[in-house]
Amino acid sequence: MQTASVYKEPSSFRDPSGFIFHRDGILYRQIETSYQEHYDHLMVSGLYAALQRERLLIPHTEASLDLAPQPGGAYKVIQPERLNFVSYPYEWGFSQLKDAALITLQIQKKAVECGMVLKDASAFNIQRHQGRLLLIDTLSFEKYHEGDPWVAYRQFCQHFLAPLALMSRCDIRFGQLSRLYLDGIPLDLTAKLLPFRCRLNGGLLGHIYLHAGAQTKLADKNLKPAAQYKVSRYSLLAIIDHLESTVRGLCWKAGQTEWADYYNATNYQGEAFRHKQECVSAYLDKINPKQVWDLGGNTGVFSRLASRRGIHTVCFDIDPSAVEINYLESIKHQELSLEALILDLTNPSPASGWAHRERASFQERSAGVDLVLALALVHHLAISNNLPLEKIAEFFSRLGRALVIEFIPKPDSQVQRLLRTRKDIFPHYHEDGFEKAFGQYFEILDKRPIVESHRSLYLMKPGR
Amino acid sequence: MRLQKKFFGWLLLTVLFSLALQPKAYAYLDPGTGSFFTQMLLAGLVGLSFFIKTFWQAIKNFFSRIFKGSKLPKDKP
Repeated sequence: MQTASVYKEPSSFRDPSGFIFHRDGILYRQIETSYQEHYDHLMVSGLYAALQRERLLIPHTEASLDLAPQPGGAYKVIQPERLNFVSYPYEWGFSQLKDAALITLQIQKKAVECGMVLKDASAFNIQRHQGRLLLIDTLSFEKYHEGDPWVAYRQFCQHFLAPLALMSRCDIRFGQLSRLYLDGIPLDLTAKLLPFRCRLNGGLLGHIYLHAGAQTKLADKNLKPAAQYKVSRYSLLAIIDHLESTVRGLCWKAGQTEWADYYNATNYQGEAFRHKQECVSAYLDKINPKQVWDLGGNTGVFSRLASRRGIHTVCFDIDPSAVEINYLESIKHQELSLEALILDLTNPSPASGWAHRERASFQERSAGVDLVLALALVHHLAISNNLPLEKIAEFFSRLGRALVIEFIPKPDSQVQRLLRTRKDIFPHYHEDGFEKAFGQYFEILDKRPIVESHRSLYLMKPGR
Repeated sequence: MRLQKKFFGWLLLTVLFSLALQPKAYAYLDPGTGSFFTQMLLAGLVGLSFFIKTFWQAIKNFFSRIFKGSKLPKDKP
Protein backbone atom coordinates (compact mmCIF):
# COMPACT_ATOMS: atom_id res chain seq x y z
CA MET A 1 0.00 0.00 0.00
CA GLN A 2 2.86 2.40 0.79
CA THR A 3 4.26 2.13 -2.71
CA ALA A 4 0.89 2.67 -4.43
CA SER A 5 0.76 5.60 -6.84
CA VAL A 6 -1.58 8.29 -5.53
CA TYR A 7 -2.57 11.23 -7.69
CA LYS A 8 -4.85 14.01 -6.51
CA GLU A 9 -7.21 15.33 -9.18
CA PRO A 10 -5.97 18.87 -9.94
CA SER A 11 -9.50 20.27 -10.44
CA SER A 12 -10.74 19.00 -7.06
CA PHE A 13 -9.66 21.63 -4.57
CA ARG A 14 -12.38 24.25 -4.11
CA ASP A 15 -14.74 22.28 -1.89
CA PRO A 16 -13.31 21.65 1.62
CA SER A 17 -15.77 18.75 2.04
CA GLY A 18 -13.47 16.36 0.18
CA PHE A 19 -11.46 15.70 -2.94
CA ILE A 20 -10.99 13.26 -5.80
CA PHE A 21 -7.85 11.16 -6.03
CA HIS A 22 -6.56 8.26 -8.08
CA ARG A 23 -4.86 5.30 -6.49
CA ASP A 24 -3.38 2.61 -8.72
CA GLY A 25 -5.49 3.94 -11.56
CA ILE A 26 -8.77 3.71 -9.60
CA LEU A 27 -10.74 6.86 -8.89
CA TYR A 28 -11.79 7.58 -5.29
CA ARG A 29 -13.21 10.48 -3.34
CA GLN A 30 -12.06 11.31 0.20
CA ILE A 31 -14.82 12.78 2.37
CA GLU A 32 -13.65 14.96 5.24
CA THR A 33 -15.04 14.74 8.77
CA SER A 34 -16.34 18.31 8.38
CA TYR A 35 -18.84 16.92 5.83
CA GLN A 36 -19.87 13.92 7.96
CA GLU A 37 -23.38 15.11 8.94
CA HIS A 38 -24.24 16.03 5.36
CA TYR A 39 -22.97 12.77 3.86
CA ASP A 40 -24.77 10.71 6.50
CA HIS A 41 -27.98 12.65 5.85
CA LEU A 42 -27.64 12.08 2.10
CA MET A 43 -27.37 8.34 2.69
CA VAL A 44 -30.01 7.86 5.42
CA SER A 45 -32.62 10.41 4.35
CA GLY A 46 -33.47 8.38 1.26
CA LEU A 47 -32.11 11.07 -1.08
CA TYR A 48 -29.23 8.94 -2.36
CA ALA A 49 -31.58 6.01 -3.01
CA ALA A 50 -34.15 8.27 -4.72
CA LEU A 51 -31.47 9.80 -6.96
CA GLN A 52 -30.16 6.33 -7.80
CA ARG A 53 -33.65 5.10 -8.72
CA GLU A 54 -33.93 7.90 -11.25
CA ARG A 55 -30.25 7.71 -12.23
CA LEU A 56 -29.61 11.33 -11.37
CA LEU A 57 -26.46 10.89 -9.26
CA ILE A 58 -23.29 8.95 -9.98
CA PRO A 59 -23.40 5.67 -7.99
CA HIS A 60 -20.62 4.93 -5.55
CA THR A 61 -19.49 2.25 -3.15
CA GLU A 62 -17.79 2.89 0.16
CA ALA A 63 -14.14 1.84 0.19
CA SER A 64 -11.64 1.23 2.97
CA LEU A 65 -10.63 4.32 4.95
CA ASP A 66 -7.04 3.04 4.69
CA LEU A 67 -7.02 4.28 1.11
CA ALA A 68 -7.34 7.93 2.19
CA PRO A 69 -4.29 9.91 1.09
CA GLN A 70 -4.84 12.42 3.93
CA PRO A 71 -6.18 10.16 6.70
CA GLY A 72 -6.05 12.89 9.37
CA GLY A 73 -9.30 14.53 8.36
CA ALA A 74 -10.89 11.63 6.50
CA TYR A 75 -14.39 10.43 7.38
CA LYS A 76 -14.99 8.12 4.41
CA VAL A 77 -13.45 7.04 1.15
CA ILE A 78 -15.90 6.32 -1.63
CA GLN A 79 -15.38 4.84 -5.07
CA PRO A 80 -17.68 6.49 -7.64
CA GLU A 81 -18.37 4.80 -10.97
CA ARG A 82 -15.86 6.01 -13.51
CA LEU A 83 -16.86 8.18 -16.45
CA ASN A 84 -15.60 7.29 -19.91
CA PHE A 85 -15.08 10.91 -20.80
CA VAL A 86 -15.41 14.32 -19.15
CA SER A 87 -16.85 17.06 -21.34
CA TYR A 88 -17.28 20.74 -20.57
CA PRO A 89 -20.39 22.96 -20.88
CA TYR A 90 -18.84 25.05 -23.68
CA GLU A 91 -18.62 21.85 -25.71
CA TRP A 92 -22.30 21.00 -25.31
CA GLY A 93 -25.06 21.69 -27.77
CA PHE A 94 -28.07 23.76 -26.74
CA SER A 95 -30.30 20.85 -25.74
CA GLN A 96 -27.58 19.16 -23.71
CA LEU A 97 -27.08 22.35 -21.67
CA LYS A 98 -30.85 22.74 -21.30
CA ASP A 99 -31.25 19.11 -20.17
CA ALA A 100 -28.38 19.58 -17.70
CA ALA A 101 -30.14 22.67 -16.29
CA LEU A 102 -33.44 20.82 -15.88
CA ILE A 103 -31.72 17.85 -14.25
CA THR A 104 -29.98 20.18 -11.79
CA LEU A 105 -33.38 21.65 -10.82
CA GLN A 106 -34.93 18.18 -10.60
CA ILE A 107 -32.14 17.12 -8.23
CA GLN A 108 -32.59 20.30 -6.20
CA LYS A 109 -36.33 19.60 -5.80
CA LYS A 110 -35.64 16.04 -4.65
CA ALA A 111 -32.99 17.31 -2.26
CA VAL A 112 -35.41 19.81 -0.66
CA GLU A 113 -37.98 17.02 -0.25
CA CYS A 114 -35.36 15.08 1.72
CA GLY A 115 -34.20 18.03 3.82
CA MET A 116 -31.14 18.91 1.75
CA VAL A 117 -30.16 21.45 -0.92
CA LEU A 118 -27.58 21.68 -3.65
CA LYS A 119 -24.79 23.90 -2.39
CA ASP A 120 -23.25 23.88 -5.89
CA ALA A 121 -25.07 24.24 -9.18
CA SER A 122 -22.06 24.10 -11.46
CA ALA A 123 -22.66 22.90 -15.01
CA PHE A 124 -19.30 21.13 -14.82
CA ASN A 125 -20.86 18.77 -12.24
CA ILE A 126 -23.27 17.34 -14.80
CA GLN A 127 -21.85 14.73 -17.13
CA ARG A 128 -23.13 12.13 -19.55
CA HIS A 129 -22.72 8.61 -18.20
CA GLN A 130 -24.06 5.54 -19.98
CA GLY A 131 -26.25 7.70 -22.17
CA ARG A 132 -27.79 9.78 -19.37
CA LEU A 133 -26.94 13.13 -17.84
CA LEU A 134 -26.32 12.94 -14.11
CA LEU A 135 -24.67 14.75 -11.22
CA ILE A 136 -21.12 13.54 -10.59
CA ASP A 137 -20.37 15.49 -7.41
CA THR A 138 -21.66 13.45 -4.49
CA LEU A 139 -20.60 16.21 -2.09
CA SER A 140 -22.82 18.87 -3.70
CA PHE A 141 -25.50 18.46 -1.03
CA GLU A 142 -25.85 20.03 2.38
CA LYS A 143 -28.55 19.91 5.03
CA TYR A 144 -31.33 22.38 4.44
CA HIS A 145 -32.34 24.81 7.16
CA GLU A 146 -35.85 26.25 6.84
CA GLY A 147 -35.65 29.89 5.77
CA ASP A 148 -32.26 29.75 4.08
CA PRO A 149 -32.13 31.14 0.53
CA TRP A 150 -30.64 28.83 -2.11
CA VAL A 151 -26.92 29.42 -1.83
CA ALA A 152 -26.29 28.11 -5.40
CA TYR A 153 -28.97 30.29 -7.03
CA ARG A 154 -26.44 32.73 -8.49
CA GLN A 155 -24.30 29.88 -9.79
CA PHE A 156 -27.30 28.23 -11.44
CA CYS A 157 -28.25 31.47 -13.18
CA GLN A 158 -24.68 32.08 -14.37
CA HIS A 159 -23.89 28.50 -15.42
CA PHE A 160 -27.20 27.60 -17.05
CA LEU A 161 -29.76 30.36 -17.44
CA ALA A 162 -27.41 33.03 -18.80
CA PRO A 163 -25.83 30.91 -21.58
CA LEU A 164 -29.18 29.33 -22.48
CA ALA A 165 -30.83 32.75 -22.75
CA LEU A 166 -27.97 34.12 -24.85
CA MET A 167 -27.91 31.06 -27.11
CA SER A 168 -31.67 31.07 -27.51
CA ARG A 169 -32.40 34.81 -27.75
CA CYS A 170 -29.16 36.21 -29.27
CA ASP A 171 -26.94 33.75 -31.07
CA ILE A 172 -26.13 30.09 -30.54
CA ARG A 173 -22.39 30.90 -30.63
CA PHE A 174 -22.68 32.75 -27.30
CA GLY A 175 -22.40 29.30 -25.69
CA GLN A 176 -18.67 29.75 -26.15
CA LEU A 177 -18.67 32.54 -23.53
CA SER A 178 -18.72 29.75 -20.92
CA ARG A 179 -15.21 28.89 -22.05
CA LEU A 180 -14.09 32.38 -21.05
CA TYR A 181 -16.11 32.59 -17.82
CA LEU A 182 -15.59 29.28 -16.05
CA ASP A 183 -17.83 30.27 -13.13
CA GLY A 184 -20.64 31.13 -15.47
CA ILE A 185 -21.42 34.16 -17.58
CA PRO A 186 -21.72 37.30 -15.40
CA LEU A 187 -25.34 38.37 -15.17
CA ASP A 188 -24.64 42.05 -15.80
CA LEU A 189 -22.92 41.09 -19.06
CA THR A 190 -25.82 38.81 -19.97
CA ALA A 191 -28.29 41.64 -19.28
CA LYS A 192 -26.34 43.93 -21.59
CA LEU A 193 -26.11 41.39 -24.40
CA LEU A 194 -29.72 40.20 -24.39
CA PRO A 195 -32.10 42.09 -26.69
CA PHE A 196 -34.41 44.60 -24.95
CA ARG A 197 -37.51 42.48 -25.59
CA CYS A 198 -36.19 39.84 -23.14
CA ARG A 199 -37.25 42.22 -20.34
CA LEU A 200 -40.82 41.26 -21.23
CA ASN A 201 -40.13 37.64 -20.29
CA GLY A 202 -41.00 37.30 -16.58
CA GLY A 203 -38.34 34.62 -15.97
CA LEU A 204 -35.51 36.50 -17.63
CA LEU A 205 -36.63 39.77 -16.07
CA GLY A 206 -36.50 38.28 -12.60
CA HIS A 207 -33.59 35.85 -12.73
CA ILE A 208 -31.31 37.79 -15.08
CA TYR A 209 -32.17 41.51 -15.14
CA LEU A 210 -33.35 41.97 -11.58
CA HIS A 211 -30.70 39.59 -10.31
CA ALA A 212 -27.95 41.49 -12.16
CA GLY A 213 -29.34 44.81 -10.94
CA ALA A 214 -29.53 43.60 -7.33
CA GLN A 215 -26.00 42.18 -7.48
CA THR A 216 -24.49 45.43 -8.68
CA LYS A 217 -26.60 47.82 -6.62
CA LEU A 218 -26.40 45.92 -3.34
CA ALA A 219 -22.83 44.65 -3.57
CA ASP A 220 -20.79 45.53 -0.51
CA LYS A 221 -23.59 47.62 0.98
CA ASN A 222 -23.59 45.69 4.27
CA LEU A 223 -27.36 45.78 4.37
CA LYS A 224 -27.63 42.83 6.73
CA PRO A 225 -25.79 39.55 7.32
CA ALA A 226 -26.57 36.75 4.87
CA ALA A 227 -28.25 34.73 7.63
CA GLN A 228 -30.99 37.36 7.91
CA TYR A 229 -32.24 36.86 4.34
CA LYS A 230 -35.16 34.48 4.71
CA VAL A 231 -36.89 32.46 2.01
CA SER A 232 -39.46 29.92 3.17
CA ARG A 233 -39.35 26.32 1.96
CA TYR A 234 -42.51 26.94 -0.05
CA SER A 235 -41.02 30.03 -1.67
CA LEU A 236 -37.82 28.13 -2.43
CA LEU A 237 -39.84 25.47 -4.26
CA ALA A 238 -41.72 28.25 -6.07
CA ILE A 239 -38.42 29.81 -7.23
CA ILE A 240 -37.15 26.41 -8.42
CA ASP A 241 -40.43 25.86 -10.29
CA HIS A 242 -40.19 29.32 -11.84
CA LEU A 243 -36.60 28.67 -12.91
CA GLU A 244 -37.74 25.39 -14.44
CA SER A 245 -40.50 27.02 -16.50
CA THR A 246 -38.07 29.79 -17.56
CA VAL A 247 -35.54 27.20 -18.76
CA ARG A 248 -38.25 25.18 -20.53
CA GLY A 249 -39.34 28.34 -22.32
CA LEU A 250 -35.90 28.83 -23.87
CA CYS A 251 -35.68 27.02 -27.19
CA TRP A 252 -33.40 26.81 -30.16
CA LYS A 253 -33.99 24.90 -33.35
CA ALA A 254 -31.05 23.55 -35.31
CA GLY A 255 -31.13 25.20 -38.72
CA GLN A 256 -30.31 23.69 -42.05
CA THR A 257 -26.70 24.84 -42.00
CA GLU A 258 -24.26 23.69 -44.67
CA TRP A 259 -22.85 21.18 -42.18
CA ALA A 260 -26.10 19.94 -40.65
CA ASP A 261 -27.29 19.18 -44.19
CA TYR A 262 -23.90 17.88 -45.33
CA TYR A 263 -24.86 14.38 -46.40
CA ASN A 264 -27.91 15.58 -48.31
CA ALA A 265 -26.07 18.47 -49.96
CA THR A 266 -23.07 16.54 -51.28
CA ASN A 267 -22.98 14.36 -54.34
CA TYR A 268 -21.08 11.87 -52.22
CA GLN A 269 -23.72 9.19 -51.84
CA GLY A 270 -24.62 5.74 -53.00
CA GLU A 271 -21.98 3.10 -53.58
CA ALA A 272 -19.01 5.21 -52.45
CA PHE A 273 -20.76 6.11 -49.19
CA ARG A 274 -21.69 2.47 -48.57
CA HIS A 275 -18.16 1.31 -49.35
CA LYS A 276 -16.69 3.89 -46.97
CA GLN A 277 -18.95 2.60 -44.21
CA GLU A 278 -17.80 -0.95 -44.94
CA CYS A 279 -14.13 0.05 -44.79
CA VAL A 280 -14.56 1.96 -41.52
CA SER A 281 -16.47 -1.00 -40.05
CA ALA A 282 -13.67 -3.35 -41.11
CA TYR A 283 -11.07 -1.12 -39.42
CA LEU A 284 -13.18 -0.96 -36.26
CA ASP A 285 -13.34 -4.77 -36.18
CA LYS A 286 -9.61 -4.99 -36.76
CA ILE A 287 -8.57 -2.48 -34.07
CA ASN A 288 -11.36 -3.43 -31.63
CA PRO A 289 -11.15 -0.12 -29.75
CA LYS A 290 -12.78 0.67 -26.41
CA GLN A 291 -12.91 4.40 -27.05
CA VAL A 292 -13.28 6.21 -30.35
CA TRP A 293 -13.13 9.91 -31.19
CA ASP A 294 -14.74 11.00 -34.43
CA LEU A 295 -13.30 14.38 -35.42
CA GLY A 296 -15.49 16.50 -37.67
CA GLY A 297 -18.11 13.79 -37.30
CA ASN A 298 -21.05 16.00 -38.34
CA THR A 299 -24.34 14.39 -37.23
CA GLY A 300 -22.59 11.16 -36.25
CA VAL A 301 -23.31 8.82 -39.18
CA PHE A 302 -19.87 7.21 -38.95
CA SER A 303 -19.66 7.60 -35.16
CA ARG A 304 -22.63 5.26 -34.94
CA LEU A 305 -20.69 2.51 -36.70
CA ALA A 306 -18.55 2.51 -33.55
CA SER A 307 -21.15 3.33 -30.89
CA ARG A 308 -23.53 0.61 -32.14
CA ARG A 309 -20.76 -1.89 -31.48
CA GLY A 310 -20.88 -0.76 -27.83
CA ILE A 311 -17.69 1.31 -28.21
CA HIS A 312 -17.77 4.58 -26.26
CA THR A 313 -17.66 7.19 -29.01
CA VAL A 314 -17.32 10.96 -28.86
CA CYS A 315 -18.35 12.76 -32.01
CA PHE A 316 -16.90 16.28 -32.29
CA ASP A 317 -18.02 18.87 -34.77
CA ILE A 318 -17.62 22.62 -35.18
CA ASP A 319 -21.26 23.15 -36.17
CA PRO A 320 -23.75 23.63 -33.28
CA SER A 321 -26.61 22.53 -35.56
CA ALA A 322 -24.97 19.22 -36.46
CA VAL A 323 -24.13 18.60 -32.77
CA GLU A 324 -27.70 19.45 -31.74
CA ILE A 325 -29.17 17.03 -34.29
CA ASN A 326 -26.71 14.35 -33.20
CA TYR A 327 -27.45 14.84 -29.48
CA LEU A 328 -31.23 14.79 -29.95
CA GLU A 329 -30.92 11.66 -32.09
CA SER A 330 -28.81 9.93 -29.43
CA ILE A 331 -31.36 10.81 -26.74
CA LYS A 332 -34.33 9.75 -28.89
CA HIS A 333 -32.80 6.33 -29.56
CA GLN A 334 -31.34 6.01 -26.05
CA GLU A 335 -27.85 5.51 -27.41
CA LEU A 336 -25.68 4.67 -24.42
CA SER A 337 -22.26 4.95 -26.01
CA LEU A 338 -22.41 8.13 -28.05
CA GLU A 339 -21.63 11.72 -27.08
CA ALA A 340 -21.97 14.71 -29.42
CA LEU A 341 -19.82 17.75 -28.69
CA ILE A 342 -18.92 21.08 -30.24
CA LEU A 343 -15.25 21.53 -31.06
CA ASP A 344 -13.32 23.79 -33.39
CA LEU A 345 -10.33 21.61 -34.18
CA THR A 346 -8.31 24.65 -35.26
CA ASN A 347 -8.77 26.10 -31.77
CA PRO A 348 -9.52 23.13 -29.49
CA SER A 349 -10.61 23.47 -25.84
CA PRO A 350 -7.55 24.59 -23.89
CA ALA A 351 -6.34 23.72 -20.41
CA SER A 352 -7.88 26.43 -18.26
CA GLY A 353 -8.78 27.59 -14.79
CA TRP A 354 -6.41 27.94 -11.87
CA ALA A 355 -2.80 27.24 -12.88
CA HIS A 356 -4.13 25.82 -16.18
CA ARG A 357 -5.10 22.69 -14.29
CA GLU A 358 -8.80 22.93 -13.44
CA ARG A 359 -10.07 22.01 -16.89
CA ALA A 360 -8.07 19.64 -19.04
CA SER A 361 -7.32 20.45 -22.65
CA PHE A 362 -8.79 18.54 -25.56
CA GLN A 363 -5.49 16.74 -26.06
CA GLU A 364 -5.05 15.87 -22.36
CA ARG A 365 -8.45 14.16 -22.42
CA SER A 366 -7.40 11.91 -25.30
CA ALA A 367 -5.31 9.67 -23.03
CA GLY A 368 -7.68 6.69 -23.23
CA VAL A 369 -8.59 7.01 -26.91
CA ASP A 370 -7.85 3.89 -28.94
CA LEU A 371 -8.95 5.09 -32.34
CA VAL A 372 -9.42 8.49 -33.96
CA LEU A 373 -11.63 8.85 -37.03
CA ALA A 374 -10.85 11.80 -39.31
CA LEU A 375 -13.19 11.31 -42.25
CA ALA A 376 -13.69 13.98 -44.89
CA LEU A 377 -11.82 16.38 -42.63
CA VAL A 378 -8.27 16.92 -43.86
CA HIS A 379 -9.26 19.00 -46.92
CA HIS A 380 -11.08 21.46 -44.65
CA LEU A 381 -8.04 21.80 -42.40
CA ALA A 382 -5.48 21.94 -45.20
CA ILE A 383 -7.33 24.09 -47.72
CA SER A 384 -9.88 26.14 -45.75
CA ASN A 385 -7.51 26.78 -42.85
CA ASN A 386 -4.12 26.73 -44.60
CA LEU A 387 -2.79 24.08 -42.24
CA PRO A 388 0.25 22.26 -43.64
CA LEU A 389 -0.28 18.48 -43.85
CA GLU A 390 2.74 17.90 -41.58
CA LYS A 391 1.14 20.03 -38.84
CA ILE A 392 -2.11 18.05 -39.09
CA ALA A 393 -0.21 14.75 -38.97
CA GLU A 394 1.84 15.85 -35.97
CA PHE A 395 -1.24 16.89 -33.96
CA PHE A 396 -3.22 13.76 -34.85
CA SER A 397 -0.26 11.60 -33.81
CA ARG A 398 -0.72 12.95 -30.25
CA LEU A 399 -4.41 12.04 -29.97
CA GLY A 400 -4.96 8.29 -30.09
CA ARG A 401 -3.41 4.86 -30.52
CA ALA A 402 -4.65 4.47 -34.10
CA LEU A 403 -6.02 6.71 -36.83
CA VAL A 404 -8.48 6.09 -39.63
CA ILE A 405 -8.18 9.01 -42.00
CA GLU A 406 -9.67 9.85 -45.37
CA PHE A 407 -7.75 11.72 -48.02
CA ILE A 408 -9.80 13.60 -50.60
CA PRO A 409 -7.72 14.81 -53.56
CA LYS A 410 -8.23 17.95 -55.61
CA PRO A 411 -10.37 16.42 -58.38
CA ASP A 412 -13.13 15.61 -55.81
CA SER A 413 -16.10 17.96 -56.04
CA GLN A 414 -15.85 18.85 -52.35
CA VAL A 415 -12.26 20.06 -52.70
CA GLN A 416 -13.16 21.86 -55.92
CA ARG A 417 -15.87 23.65 -53.97
CA LEU A 418 -13.28 24.87 -51.44
CA LEU A 419 -10.90 25.98 -54.20
CA ARG A 420 -13.59 27.83 -56.14
CA THR A 421 -13.09 31.08 -54.25
CA ARG A 422 -9.41 30.80 -53.29
CA LYS A 423 -6.12 30.66 -55.06
CA ASP A 424 -4.64 27.17 -55.20
CA ILE A 425 -1.56 27.68 -53.04
CA PHE A 426 -1.42 24.02 -52.04
CA PRO A 427 1.09 22.36 -54.41
CA HIS A 428 1.76 19.50 -51.95
CA TYR A 429 -1.91 18.66 -51.49
CA HIS A 430 -2.01 15.34 -53.32
CA GLU A 431 -1.93 11.68 -52.32
CA ASP A 432 1.87 11.38 -52.37
CA GLY A 433 2.24 14.60 -50.37
CA PHE A 434 -0.32 13.34 -47.87
CA GLU A 435 1.42 9.96 -47.46
CA LYS A 436 4.81 11.64 -47.13
CA ALA A 437 3.56 14.09 -44.47
CA PHE A 438 1.72 11.46 -42.41
CA GLY A 439 4.52 8.94 -42.94
CA GLN A 440 6.73 11.16 -40.77
CA TYR A 441 4.53 10.59 -37.74
CA PHE A 442 2.62 7.39 -38.49
CA GLU A 443 3.13 3.91 -39.75
CA ILE A 444 0.65 3.41 -42.58
CA LEU A 445 -0.87 -0.02 -41.94
CA ASP A 446 -3.48 -0.12 -44.68
CA LYS A 447 -4.89 1.90 -47.57
CA ARG A 448 -8.23 1.38 -49.31
CA PRO A 449 -9.39 3.43 -52.31
CA ILE A 450 -13.12 4.15 -52.04
CA VAL A 451 -15.01 2.90 -55.05
CA GLU A 452 -16.65 5.37 -57.42
CA SER A 453 -14.62 8.23 -55.93
CA HIS A 454 -11.13 9.73 -55.92
CA ARG A 455 -10.92 9.23 -52.17
CA SER A 456 -8.81 6.85 -50.07
CA LEU A 457 -9.05 5.60 -46.51
CA TYR A 458 -5.96 4.90 -44.44
CA LEU A 459 -5.38 3.01 -41.23
CA MET A 460 -2.34 4.33 -39.37
CA LYS A 461 -0.50 3.85 -36.11
CA PRO A 462 1.39 6.77 -34.54
CA GLY A 463 5.00 6.66 -33.43
CA ARG A 464 7.04 6.00 -36.52
CA MET B 1 -53.19 30.83 -16.48
CA ARG B 2 -51.71 32.82 -19.36
CA LEU B 3 -53.38 36.03 -18.13
CA GLN B 4 -52.08 35.43 -14.66
CA LYS B 5 -48.56 34.87 -16.02
CA LYS B 6 -48.76 38.09 -18.01
CA PHE B 7 -50.00 39.98 -14.96
CA PHE B 8 -47.04 38.91 -12.89
CA GLY B 9 -44.67 39.58 -15.75
CA TRP B 10 -45.89 43.16 -16.02
CA LEU B 11 -45.95 43.61 -12.26
CA LEU B 12 -42.32 42.52 -12.12
CA LEU B 13 -41.55 44.81 -15.01
CA THR B 14 -43.07 47.86 -13.33
CA VAL B 15 -41.62 47.32 -9.87
CA LEU B 16 -38.15 46.33 -10.92
CA PHE B 17 -37.55 48.22 -14.10
CA SER B 18 -35.35 50.91 -12.62
CA LEU B 19 -33.35 48.39 -10.65
CA ALA B 20 -32.73 46.14 -13.63
CA LEU B 21 -32.29 48.72 -16.34
CA GLN B 22 -28.60 49.45 -16.47
CA PRO B 23 -26.30 47.70 -14.04
CA LYS B 24 -23.25 49.89 -13.62
CA ALA B 25 -20.98 48.51 -10.91
CA TYR B 26 -19.17 45.18 -10.71
CA ALA B 27 -20.47 42.64 -8.25
CA TYR B 28 -17.53 40.31 -7.93
CA LEU B 29 -16.69 41.48 -4.41
CA ASP B 30 -20.06 40.52 -2.99
CA PRO B 31 -22.28 38.67 -5.39
CA GLY B 32 -24.19 36.91 -2.57
CA THR B 33 -26.20 39.80 -1.12
CA GLY B 34 -27.82 40.60 -4.46
CA SER B 35 -28.67 36.94 -5.08
CA PHE B 36 -30.24 36.52 -1.64
CA PHE B 37 -32.15 39.76 -2.03
CA THR B 38 -33.41 38.68 -5.47
CA GLN B 39 -34.68 35.41 -4.03
CA MET B 40 -36.53 37.23 -1.25
CA LEU B 41 -38.15 39.56 -3.74
CA LEU B 42 -39.03 36.85 -6.24
CA ALA B 43 -40.30 34.57 -3.48
CA GLY B 44 -43.37 36.75 -2.97
CA LEU B 45 -44.02 37.27 -6.66
CA VAL B 46 -43.63 33.71 -7.88
CA GLY B 47 -45.02 32.20 -4.66
CA LEU B 48 -48.60 33.20 -5.50
CA SER B 49 -48.20 31.99 -9.07
CA PHE B 50 -46.82 28.68 -7.77
CA PHE B 51 -49.73 28.36 -5.34
CA ILE B 52 -52.28 28.85 -8.12
CA LYS B 53 -50.40 26.44 -10.37
CA THR B 54 -50.20 23.67 -7.75
CA PHE B 55 -53.80 24.30 -6.67
CA TRP B 56 -54.98 24.03 -10.27
CA GLN B 57 -52.92 20.87 -10.72
CA ALA B 58 -54.52 19.39 -7.58
CA ILE B 59 -58.02 20.13 -8.97
CA LYS B 60 -57.09 18.56 -12.30
CA ASN B 61 -55.68 15.49 -10.54
CA PHE B 62 -58.82 15.21 -8.39
CA PHE B 63 -61.15 15.21 -11.41
CA SER B 64 -58.81 13.02 -13.37
CA ARG B 65 -58.96 10.43 -10.54
CA ILE B 66 -62.76 10.62 -10.44
CA PHE B 67 -62.94 10.31 -14.22
CA LYS B 68 -60.54 7.38 -14.27
CA GLY B 69 -62.23 5.85 -11.24
CA SER B 70 -65.66 5.96 -12.89
CA LYS B 71 -64.20 4.70 -16.15
CA LEU B 72 -62.40 1.70 -14.70
CA PRO B 73 -65.41 -0.54 -13.99
CA LYS B 74 -66.76 0.13 -17.49
CA ASP B 75 -63.46 -0.97 -18.99
CA LYS B 76 -63.56 -4.21 -17.11
CA PRO B 77 -64.69 -7.10 -19.25
